Amino acid sequence: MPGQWHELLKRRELVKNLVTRHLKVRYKSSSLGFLWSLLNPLLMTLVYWAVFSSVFTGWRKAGIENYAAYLVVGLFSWNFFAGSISDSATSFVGNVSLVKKVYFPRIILPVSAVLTNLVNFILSLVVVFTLLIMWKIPSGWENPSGICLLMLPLLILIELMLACGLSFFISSLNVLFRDVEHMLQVILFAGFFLTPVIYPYTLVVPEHLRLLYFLNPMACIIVSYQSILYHGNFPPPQLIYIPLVISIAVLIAGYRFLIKVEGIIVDQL
Amino acid sequence: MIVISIKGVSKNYLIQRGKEPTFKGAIMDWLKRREPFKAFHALEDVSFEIQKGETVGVIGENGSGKSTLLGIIAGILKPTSGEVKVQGSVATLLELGAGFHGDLSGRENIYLNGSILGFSKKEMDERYKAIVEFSELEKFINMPVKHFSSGMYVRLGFAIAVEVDPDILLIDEVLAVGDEHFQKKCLRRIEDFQKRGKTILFVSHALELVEEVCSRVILLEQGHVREEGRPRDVLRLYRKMVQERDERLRPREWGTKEAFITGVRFLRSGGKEEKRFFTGQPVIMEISYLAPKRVDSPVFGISIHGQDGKNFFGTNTKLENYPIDHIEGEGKIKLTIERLTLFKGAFFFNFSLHSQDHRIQYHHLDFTHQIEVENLREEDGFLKLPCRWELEV
Ligand SMILES: Nc1ncnc2c1ncn2[C@@H]1O[C@H](COP(=O)(O)OP(=O)(O)O)[C@@H](O)[C@H]1O
Ligand SMILES: [Mg+2]
Repeated sequence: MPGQWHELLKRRELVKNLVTRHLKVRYKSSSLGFLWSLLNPLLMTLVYWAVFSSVFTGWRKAGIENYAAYLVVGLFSWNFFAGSISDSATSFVGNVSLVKKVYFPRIILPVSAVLTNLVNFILSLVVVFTLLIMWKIPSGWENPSGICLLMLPLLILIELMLACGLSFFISSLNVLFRDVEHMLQVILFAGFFLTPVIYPYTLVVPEHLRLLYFLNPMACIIVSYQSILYHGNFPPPQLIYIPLVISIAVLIAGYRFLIKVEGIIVDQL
Repeated sequence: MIVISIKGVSKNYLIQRGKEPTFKGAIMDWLKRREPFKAFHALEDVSFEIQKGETVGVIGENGSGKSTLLGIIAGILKPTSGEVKVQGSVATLLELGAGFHGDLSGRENIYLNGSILGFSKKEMDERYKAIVEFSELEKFINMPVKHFSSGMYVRLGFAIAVEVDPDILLIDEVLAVGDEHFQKKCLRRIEDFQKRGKTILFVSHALELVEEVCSRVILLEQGHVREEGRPRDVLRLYRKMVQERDERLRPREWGTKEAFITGVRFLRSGGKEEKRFFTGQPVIMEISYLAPKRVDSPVFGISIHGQDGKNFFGTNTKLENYPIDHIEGEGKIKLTIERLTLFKGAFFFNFSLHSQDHRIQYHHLDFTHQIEVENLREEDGFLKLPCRWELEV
């Protein structure tokens, strides 16, 4: 088991190089650079806000005073996940010359795709916090419950592990079946609506389905982000346990899977 | 001390039916109970050992498994069965580009490559100057490598491989690409490596070179070790083998070289390089050329030959009414065969570059390029002709 993890640490430099390269390409490809990566979630916020705050007026009753702020929290955290997953699809397919010509632990490629999105997410948190402070949200931060922010790193770690584990599956499956990339977009689209990014689950999901609903680790994670960043509360413990256990399981399973099919991947590329 | 030990190594490739493997296709295969893969035995039960300080040549015809063997030793490919033990740091220089990223500049690729080999930025800083100097690419080092010619790729790749100073150097057919000046330089460096007790594994078609630099030669034939021993003896056997095959099939390049073909890549419609195609698929050939001086109205041609040398098809830019006004410097020309109507087998693709009236033959590559064709249906023969059955009562 330690095999590639250990090598991964040994090749920190390579991971760093790959992440820098991804970021460079991403920020260089448009004149707006880093701002561009903020534009997408901010525009989405605007669109959902424009649509839903006018057709639906029950936000206040559902405990959401500022729907735009609620959206910002959910969309940025979701984008970290969705971006990692869709980028990892091309980790192997888009790096044929590297994979076929030199040896290095292949796990580095999906890991660096996810880390790129992590860096981007952490940078964009600055914007999220700026907006939240501007909007004076949550009111709870000023009082002692501001310590709930201490949960944020753990939450990011859980999301990171989940994204890594899934990226191991997606990156290698996309070599074995080249249409995975296309199916992925549909699945992510469905996942987006199965996760309370643009609506509060208390309003939409019936009581008796909640248990099922929160088997989706992203649902737990997003609710926890909203709880910490929007409401200024500690999330319910089970919304941390559930995704923690699932993400560790996915990480281990994904790792095993990648190691198992690694040989075939190189042959098939 | 044994630094490379290979015991009973076999490698099977799974060949997919159809073009790209898809999930949809896999479900169809499963529903129709078709075997989704065909196994191809690229190496079978290969065993040998290499001592520290040896320079071992690996020779054999195209498709005999040389590159596969090197890939396995480098750790890039996993053997299907058998045991591989390698001691010491390894640098690989496999066919074209030791793992470069096209969008990055030469400079960035040096650092990327260094980090792949496990070197820190600082360690690469120390080597950077020597690498650029050896490659003689100072002027191009900030250009994306996708604009490099194949010769430039090799220079950069070789420079990195030797400057990181590995214990074991694996070289696959790359020296033939560079110009003579650079080849000599590489050879001197290889000799220097030998003197310092490094181990080199060396795949080449240049038999004289193999004879000159290798202390031992391994001859592969269809995935088996056919012979192994002193260069002279093994090469004699190999030359005889090649000669025994039709004399005409000897790989040959000739011409005045006023302009010449520097490389040919076979691509699928998606642009992926490939040596194996399926009946009915499109095949794209990307021919790179170099005309040191302006050449007016050149004609590019190709011909396809079977294993007995028989010519199946030939055409050129003149016959296809594609006049080329002139060429100068480096460039590429692409030929697309819309549907490959050949059946299963290995076929030679010969390339030529000559004047409008055939008087001046600039450059010919005869029997140097081969592709394999797989047919997924049970048809017989060499050639697929469009046809239709109709029952009349
Ligand atoms: N990834 C692959 N998938 C399927 N077949 C392959 C693959 N790589 C190589 N082969 C086949 O394996 C055989 C040996 O190839 P290779 O090792 O490249 O030979 P050589 O280097 O001696 O020309 C060839 O028939 C080749 O077509
Ligand atoms: Mg080869």
